Amino acid sequence: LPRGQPSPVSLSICVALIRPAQCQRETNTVLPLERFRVLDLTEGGYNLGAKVLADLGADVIRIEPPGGSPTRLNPPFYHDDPHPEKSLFWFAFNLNKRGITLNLESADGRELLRQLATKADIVMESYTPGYLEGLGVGYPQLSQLNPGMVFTSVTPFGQTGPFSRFKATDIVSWAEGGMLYLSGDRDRPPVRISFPVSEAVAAAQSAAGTMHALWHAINTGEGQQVDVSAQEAVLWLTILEPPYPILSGYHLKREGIHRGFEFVNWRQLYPCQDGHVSIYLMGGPAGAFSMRALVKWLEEEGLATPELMEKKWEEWSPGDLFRLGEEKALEEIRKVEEVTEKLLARHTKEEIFDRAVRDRILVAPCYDAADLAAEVQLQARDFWKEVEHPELGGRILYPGELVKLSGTPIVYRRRAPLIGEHNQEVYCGELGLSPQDYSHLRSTGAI
Amino acid sequence: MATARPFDGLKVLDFMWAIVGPMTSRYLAEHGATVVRVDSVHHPDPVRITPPYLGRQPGINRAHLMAEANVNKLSLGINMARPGGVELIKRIITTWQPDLVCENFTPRAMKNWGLDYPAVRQLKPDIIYYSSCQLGHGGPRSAFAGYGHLASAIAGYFHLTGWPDRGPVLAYGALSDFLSPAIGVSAIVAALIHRKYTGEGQHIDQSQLEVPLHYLSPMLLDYQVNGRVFGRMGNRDLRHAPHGVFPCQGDDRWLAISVASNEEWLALRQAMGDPAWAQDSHFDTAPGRKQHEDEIEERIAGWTQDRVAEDLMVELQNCGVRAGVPISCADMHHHPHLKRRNFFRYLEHPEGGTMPHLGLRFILSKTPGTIDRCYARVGTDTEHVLKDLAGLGDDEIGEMAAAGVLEWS
Repeated sequence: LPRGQPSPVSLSICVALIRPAQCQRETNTVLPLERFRVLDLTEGGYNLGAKVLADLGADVIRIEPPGGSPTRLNPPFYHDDPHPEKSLFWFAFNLNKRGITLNLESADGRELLRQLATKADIVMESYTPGYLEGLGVGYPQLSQLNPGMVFTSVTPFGQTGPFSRFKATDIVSWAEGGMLYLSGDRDRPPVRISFPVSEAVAAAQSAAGTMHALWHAINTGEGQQVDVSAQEAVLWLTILEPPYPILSGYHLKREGIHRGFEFVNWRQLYPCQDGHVSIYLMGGPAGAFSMRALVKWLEEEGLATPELMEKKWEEWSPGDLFRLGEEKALEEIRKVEEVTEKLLARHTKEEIFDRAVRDRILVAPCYDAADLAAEVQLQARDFWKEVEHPELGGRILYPGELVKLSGTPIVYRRRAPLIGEHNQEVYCGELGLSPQDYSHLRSTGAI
Repeated sequence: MATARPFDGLKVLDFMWAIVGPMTSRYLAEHGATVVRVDSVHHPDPVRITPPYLGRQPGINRAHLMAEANVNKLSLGINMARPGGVELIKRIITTWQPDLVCENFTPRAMKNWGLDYPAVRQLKPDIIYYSSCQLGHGGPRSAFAGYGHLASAIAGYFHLTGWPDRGPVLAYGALSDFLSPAIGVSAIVAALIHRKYTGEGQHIDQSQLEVPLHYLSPMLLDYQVNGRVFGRMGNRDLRHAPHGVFPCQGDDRWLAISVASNEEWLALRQAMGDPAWAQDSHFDTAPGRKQHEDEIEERIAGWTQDRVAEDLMVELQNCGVRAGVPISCADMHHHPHLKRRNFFRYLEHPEGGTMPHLGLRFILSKTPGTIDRCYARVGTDTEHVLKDLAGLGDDEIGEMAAAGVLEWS
């Protein structure tokens, strides 16, 4: 990729670059985290954590080893070209950050990190516990230099415990977090989500934990370490499940397209004319309104039985069915499923979604990436945002605001950084290295 | 006195219900905030009657999920449908002056009560007001009512789960409900920081479809840039091979193994005793291993099937091979690592017995969150909230109780 040669920059320009939000935004609003600087030493999906802070306005400096981060090898790639400057994975999770290179394995590199850490409010990292500390730049050492700093560590198994130095990829965290065992068909092994999300799930918790600690640091001046375990973050996706062995003795297993509470088990996914839909088929306070609307639709299409038309759906909650006992409960549920399957097979995803919104039926389409790109609700909320990629000669549409903040809306200020893109800006302009020192550190491989 | 916690002194009026909302305000309750949960008997939160129950006994106070989502919160029992209910809330806002009001109804509910953001702002100009609903405020499908199994479907998670030769299956649970809270609370704290420096409150509008999409961002860019519609791949990976879930000794026991480099492949070979089949030079690179994935998986399965999953996991990890046991709910409670980290917590339940709770989602080294008060009955703290926090008199409270505005279970 063509990359602009770093040009000598004056201090005044640097100051503008330090706080890009102020000079590029159309309005004068100050973003919530605008005064805070984050050093991001995480890799992979853990990159989402500092991206959340960057979206909220923080000046996030993504620190990569010289030559580029291994995260840049993560697919998918722009036009399927596996080039380190074309990873869409990198683009997505490093948007709104600046980027510098720094060699942690060199003494000069570590000294630069120490200097950067004295001027930072937050460090986020995902190295194996003990690695940074062994190099003299872990939490114990950096917090000596900067006691008010928040130091967030996000790793597969957290900072303590017998597995803390074990490694993972997505499927390992998905397994040890309990999600894997519960997903898939009974006649095949448990199955993961085909796109890896467990690191991003832990990253979101790392953002939340960092925000908690930052609030505390703002109010008290006291910094601390935040310990996030991907295993525990994934475990938090299963919250309905862990109490079963203690409270009921029931052994939950994966149920494919079905879902349930012990033996109260119903089919959640059905084919429709052009794909699949997900439907909640329970009454009671959670679903009676929906079941009534569904029966009305069944009636219109000649599929409603007298029994369904007369049923008191308020008394058809999972708890009510539980009290009926297994055989009777399942008999009741299967009758509803049978006609529901026929109804849904007659309609398209969009027809079903429209009907769901109009009549308050608890049913929704199973979308894919193409459906999402066309979804009217996302378009109406102006969800997709264009980001300029001059090096690629065009713009890319990104998922937009994480949340809508009325007073301080999230904006995309810059695409993900190129390798070493902000080296000169940060090292010379902000850290105050002389041009001689800077080129020396480049030649020795510290930068 | 206990160490200062991050949100000591923070006042939250919590209209959240079901899972996604209460799990968001739970962070604040774990870390020191006073969170007053508005709760009801006549219009019960559906998770109040969701199994499993304490002692397998159904009951409005006995559902695990209600307790889990509302740890440490104060319970204020109000029947909002009774005349006087809405007025009471307005009075609490005026006198108690909460920092944060949060709700996760469909957009019309708070508006119908006259308690939407513009209305509450009249009572407290710098209020931070957090809303979360399935598809966000505004737009043609904003009124859509749903639960996590629906937003997860829309966000593409079920389309992505399963095998290439079959239709989608469920990725367990109400996934989107659990993907939104961490982002929601981050936005809430950001708004607190903004208010601290500027004095300005604001409205936070979270869509439970849009947040989960961010975890899949690279896949969505893949469609925008390359036109590719990502599909189901079973347990295979775009890059790594071998990458799968292999049978182990016992009924429905498995081990996930993921080889992420050529060095790790060599380590796995050594662990397997470097059998002749694995020495094939075609397998030396990831593309080569991908090409022969069926064969390699079959061979590995032959090796794992007589091994104990937990033992093999530790053995492989100690050799530098990434492996993990797909743990069941029974496994979680005696998992050696989770145990050492004191992950599960147990609280005395007011109706007798012990309620298990999931632990903290992150651990702050100096001001860790606490899980110390079981949430069960509607209205446990009504008197405290109305008298001590909102400054109401005994007579008024008695009148409202008699009029059915206040509720207890």
